[in-house]
Amino acid sequence: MQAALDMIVELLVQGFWVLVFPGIFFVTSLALLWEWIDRKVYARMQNRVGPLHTGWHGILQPLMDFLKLLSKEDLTPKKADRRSFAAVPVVLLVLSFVLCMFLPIVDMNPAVPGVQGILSFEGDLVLILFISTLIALVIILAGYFSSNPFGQTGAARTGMLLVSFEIPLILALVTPAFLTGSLCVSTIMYRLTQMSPAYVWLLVLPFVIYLIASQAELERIPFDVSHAETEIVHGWQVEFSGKKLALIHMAEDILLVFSAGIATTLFLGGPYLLEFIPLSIFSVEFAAIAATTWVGWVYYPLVFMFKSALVVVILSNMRTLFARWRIDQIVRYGWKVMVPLALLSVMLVQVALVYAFPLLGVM
Amino acid sequence: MTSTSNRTVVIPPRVSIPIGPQHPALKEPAMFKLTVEGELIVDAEVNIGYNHRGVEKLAESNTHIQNLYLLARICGICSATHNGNYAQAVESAAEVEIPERARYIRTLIWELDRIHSHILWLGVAFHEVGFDTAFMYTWRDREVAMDMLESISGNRVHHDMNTVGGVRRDVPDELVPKLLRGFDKLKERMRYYRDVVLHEKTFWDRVAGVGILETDVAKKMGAVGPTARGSNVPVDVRFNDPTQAYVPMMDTGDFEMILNDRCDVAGRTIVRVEETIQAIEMCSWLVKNMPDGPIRERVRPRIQPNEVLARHEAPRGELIHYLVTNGTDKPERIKVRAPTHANWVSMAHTLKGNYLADAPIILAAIDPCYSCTDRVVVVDADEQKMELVPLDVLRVRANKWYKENPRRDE
Repeated sequence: MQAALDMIVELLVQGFWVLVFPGIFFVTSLALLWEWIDRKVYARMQNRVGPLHTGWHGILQPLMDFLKLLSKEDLTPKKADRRSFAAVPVVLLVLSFVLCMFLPIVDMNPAVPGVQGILSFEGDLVLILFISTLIALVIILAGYFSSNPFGQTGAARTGMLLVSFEIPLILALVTPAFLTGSLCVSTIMYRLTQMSPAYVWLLVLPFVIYLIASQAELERIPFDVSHAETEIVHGWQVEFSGKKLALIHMAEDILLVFSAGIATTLFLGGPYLLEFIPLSIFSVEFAAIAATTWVGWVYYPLVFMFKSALVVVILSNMRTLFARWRIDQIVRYGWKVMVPLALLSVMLVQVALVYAFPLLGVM
Repeated sequence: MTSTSNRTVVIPPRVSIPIGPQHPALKEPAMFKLTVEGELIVDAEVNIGYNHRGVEKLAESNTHIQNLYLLARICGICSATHNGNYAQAVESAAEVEIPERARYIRTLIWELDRIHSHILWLGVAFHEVGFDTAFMYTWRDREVAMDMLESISGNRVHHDMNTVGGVRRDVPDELVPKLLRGFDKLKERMRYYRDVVLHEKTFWDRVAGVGILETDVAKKMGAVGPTARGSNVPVDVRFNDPTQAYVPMMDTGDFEMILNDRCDVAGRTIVRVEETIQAIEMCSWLVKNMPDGPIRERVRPRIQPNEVLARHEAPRGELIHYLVTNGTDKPERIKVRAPTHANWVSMAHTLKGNYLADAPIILAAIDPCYSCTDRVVVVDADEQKMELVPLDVLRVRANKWYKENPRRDE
């Protein structure tokens, strides 16, 4: 009896984690919030006001847009493959949710040191990279399923874009794994926070490469050739409308949460902030309180949100600064600059780890 | 075993992509059928005529004063040019001289119109290559020019400043310092945008070497305005055949025609940006040297029979009004040759061989104004069919028709 009750409670708790906090509901709210920040920053930098009327400074505007799109007419082109066409937004949304499950926002498993994500196991970094490539594949298929010349052109461009920028992205993300000798996102993050500050310098170049590559993964200016509304009318999204478009937009916002979250986790020290202050009251006592009591459930998400928001602001700023590149320019830039740069940074890290740091006595 | 003789040549699939009649890159309806191989444009077909409004026919039943307001509404952006050029045409038909101050004010409105039109174009060009930040900035600064036009004429878009024999409103002296301040601000901003155009790599990469229109082709196809000057063809009515206050302005020798030999979209962009700065200088010259006197000369409403070809350099190029008067207060015939009409001819040539991604900026680079341009849809009422007549067919038919039916007895 007691065992059955325990199991029910356990199931309820796990359900709460996955569905509400820090799972789907939390991630969705973050996605809408990040979209608002993105739109507001983008607008203010362009000397516009941005969303203004719905909620405080238009904070509810993304939600209203989402709800409005849900109520709009949902059309499927005659020539499109019906089932696959309808499956694309759902698959995109599910994959992006799965990606966010790996983000260490709150300590899900206090038995292991460090903050854990809802899903966390050795080798999950590889799975994350695999899923993000899978998303690229789904996007390409979405363009072809819609059987629209704009959609197909957009899909071809997406393919070329992602082929060029997956490699720098992956190389940037494996640098922290090299440093820590682990392939588990949570472990990498925890070990990075324990290492000497000298290692921060090794993460600067990969971080910059990651930001640029993730801007390309998210198909934002200057890499938004696959949308390019003045050329191919939003590319692969052109035939999607109503609920499907709403889900696609939500998936894109969630991917923004994921990209900013992974940058936070692997490069900016995850949900730790006060712990880095070299005073024992912060680095020892406060760390213990946050790690063991309910304080962590408030403190960690807040720090995570703060750092992610910073990354989102950087990404929005990049969006304001440039014009759209042409696809051939992007591919040339990707293979001639980004890939060699990423390889170089990996080599630098190896040289530093194997030769320079032992020589300098950095541990 | 494979032999070299039966080697297959793989041709990428040809996709035909319609740009228009409704397309986010186009602000007005027109249709461009692009045949692409992958990303490369191998063929382009220009198909215009979605916006014909019968203005010329309507003008024949209006008086000259009414026509001033009708023709201003041919185009929302360069309304002052049509308005002023028609007034100029009627005045030459009536063979009257208008007061010196009216000439200056008319020219001032023309140049202000050019400033706001070129800034608008620059914003559109930024938008076409996805540089939305600069687009927002340019359109914000365009408001300075719009405010000046409003304070002079009372209207933001349709200024309707001209009347037969002069202008409707004076530029009061207390407005002059405000205008000069506005010119200073605009000039500073335009210099900044010139730097953005020249030094922002992502923008420059999108316009340099794109949409080549060689000098001889531009001459052959009869390109006008910044499109021609960006291809190093020295055509500018303000310099070649000055009228109004352009005559004393050109006599000072302070202004030179702006040309560029790049022959691509970048060249056209530079010409437009430099021209805006020059137009601001022209405006301050006009305001500073404006003579005193009346602003209007009374002209009798009936104009003696006459035939006039009035030319004016509109923001988009040379605008021609061909006016035939017949002794009444209405025109016998008014023919408008808007600059975009002259620039369409070279479009198919310019598009070919570029990437699909370049199509919007190439189309935008001639600053197309469809409503000035669109000509004829032939509706056959007997057979209940509608036929879209392309330009060349129309020309052949028109020549044939005029050969058979001479319009006027000589």
